[in-house]
Amino acid sequence: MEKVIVVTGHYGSGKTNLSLNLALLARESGENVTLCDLDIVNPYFRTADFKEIAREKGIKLLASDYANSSLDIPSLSGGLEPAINGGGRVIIDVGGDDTGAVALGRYAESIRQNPYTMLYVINKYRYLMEAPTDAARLLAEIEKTSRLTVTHIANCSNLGAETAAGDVIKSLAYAEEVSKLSGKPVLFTAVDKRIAGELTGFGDVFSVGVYVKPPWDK
Amino acid sequence: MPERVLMKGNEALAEAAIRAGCLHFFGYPITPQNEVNAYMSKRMPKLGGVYLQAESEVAAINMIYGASAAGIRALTSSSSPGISLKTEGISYMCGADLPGLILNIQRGGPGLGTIQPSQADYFQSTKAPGHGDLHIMVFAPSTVQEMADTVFKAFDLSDEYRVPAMILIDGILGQMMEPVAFPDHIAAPAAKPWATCGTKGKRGRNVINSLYLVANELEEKVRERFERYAEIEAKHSEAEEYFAEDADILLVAYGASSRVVKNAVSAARKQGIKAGMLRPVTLWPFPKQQLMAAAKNAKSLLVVEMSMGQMVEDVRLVVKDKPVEFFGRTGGVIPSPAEVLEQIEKLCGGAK
Repeated sequence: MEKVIVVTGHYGSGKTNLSLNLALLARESGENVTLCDLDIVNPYFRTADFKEIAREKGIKLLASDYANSSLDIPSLSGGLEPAINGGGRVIIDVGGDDTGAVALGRYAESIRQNPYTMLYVINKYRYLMEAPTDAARLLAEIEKTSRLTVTHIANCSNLGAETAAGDVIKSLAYAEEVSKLSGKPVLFTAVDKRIAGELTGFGDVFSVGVYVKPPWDK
Repeated sequence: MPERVLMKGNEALAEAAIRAGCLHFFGYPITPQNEVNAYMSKRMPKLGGVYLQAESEVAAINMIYGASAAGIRALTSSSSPGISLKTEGISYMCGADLPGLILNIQRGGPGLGTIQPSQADYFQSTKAPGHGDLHIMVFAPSTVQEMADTVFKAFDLSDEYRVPAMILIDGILGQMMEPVAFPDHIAAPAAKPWATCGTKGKRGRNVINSLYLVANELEEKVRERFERYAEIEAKHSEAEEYFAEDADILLVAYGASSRVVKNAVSAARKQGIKAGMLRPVTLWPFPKQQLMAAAKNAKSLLVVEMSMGQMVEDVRLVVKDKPVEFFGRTGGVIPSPAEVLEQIEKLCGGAK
């Protein structure tokens, strides 16, 4: 993946959890990592929730000063532009749907001037996204709104805490179908590390920790 | 079994309403319930239904009044401050015997408060959701699946008794994602011969009204309505037990708090403390009989709420011969299972 990684997708597809995992992985290999919460849609369950873990691991977290406050306004962090052009690893967690991608469009010009990977996160089990045609249509809408090009599909299909290996296996054909319809290759299938072992031999599996969870399970 | 999908609580409420035959939604945006509006605005036009963003919450609740008077299943949704604005309309609906479903995805209060989850509207929902002698049915689901299931039940009971229903959850349940399956078969709504949908020259006119010119007539009407309330109380009070049977310490919690308490009870059991929980599923009617039965063998009770203590008053009205303690966080703060466990240990005189 290129230095600048943009994570887009359907609302609730698993972008935030994937972004955090990508940031942790890059940080483990000694990179200088900036993780940016570009979500202007969601009031709860967002990258800004992970201030603690980011501080602990030495990941620079960029979020609106008002994220997780009651000032529920779509404001952006001023630090993203310099980070994109700074040469370090930048992971941008974009808000859901084409609505969330509006904020991304603001940075399209800077991003285009750098080599970038733009992931489109899919989840077969998200309601109203079960048809590959719906997922492919939203991909095109996100590209149009953000004025950027999706380079890869990231299959994050899951049913939350109750995801079984069989659910993930069933999603592989779905990911291939979205890939065929959109002409974008599937980069990997992200799988909860507790069940990732059961998916050996099923292609490129990215074993991830699950950090986005309800407060009573933390 | 129908296919399970991953949904946010707010989306599941909206989709369940559509599947329950509700094609009329009137709302006004407020965090943390905006997904209900967003979902309805996307789906309703495709289904030939009505999504209307009203000019205010006051307008939206009165649109429900109108739709319901015409015999149509209608839904409105808001969060705490918006529900306060709806209370006048709720009272009018009660006074006119109109069914209808109101969602309250609670946030911290009073005032504009915070956008974080809270359970501080218990008093408002169960005691005085509007002025006058009245009740509405209040349901408190605790999972996304249960939220979806409750929508069908709430609409059906509301139609059957001609009493408005409310689903009372909070921001965290509205925002979190869990798998949900929708029922394959959905019962048709009850017939509404009282609706003002045109006489077609074949019957006398129906009147939907909450204004009375003679006090005795209103008293008679209210008494008749309270007979219906008594029937609802007798037939539809609901609660769920979790390790309650042999519990020395019985916790009482609903909605999101019950998820926290469940984990705390499990942790206490691992330490050898006999803890259990009763989770009221209906808040009005309050499940008095179920609580009395569950508390029979307990030495003490602990009520956990995301408020300064509201439901605890109803628990104390039912359980008079045992200590009923309270633990709560408020303002949008969710208690942790560890905090609740600490309270359990304290009440039991330390870990066993």
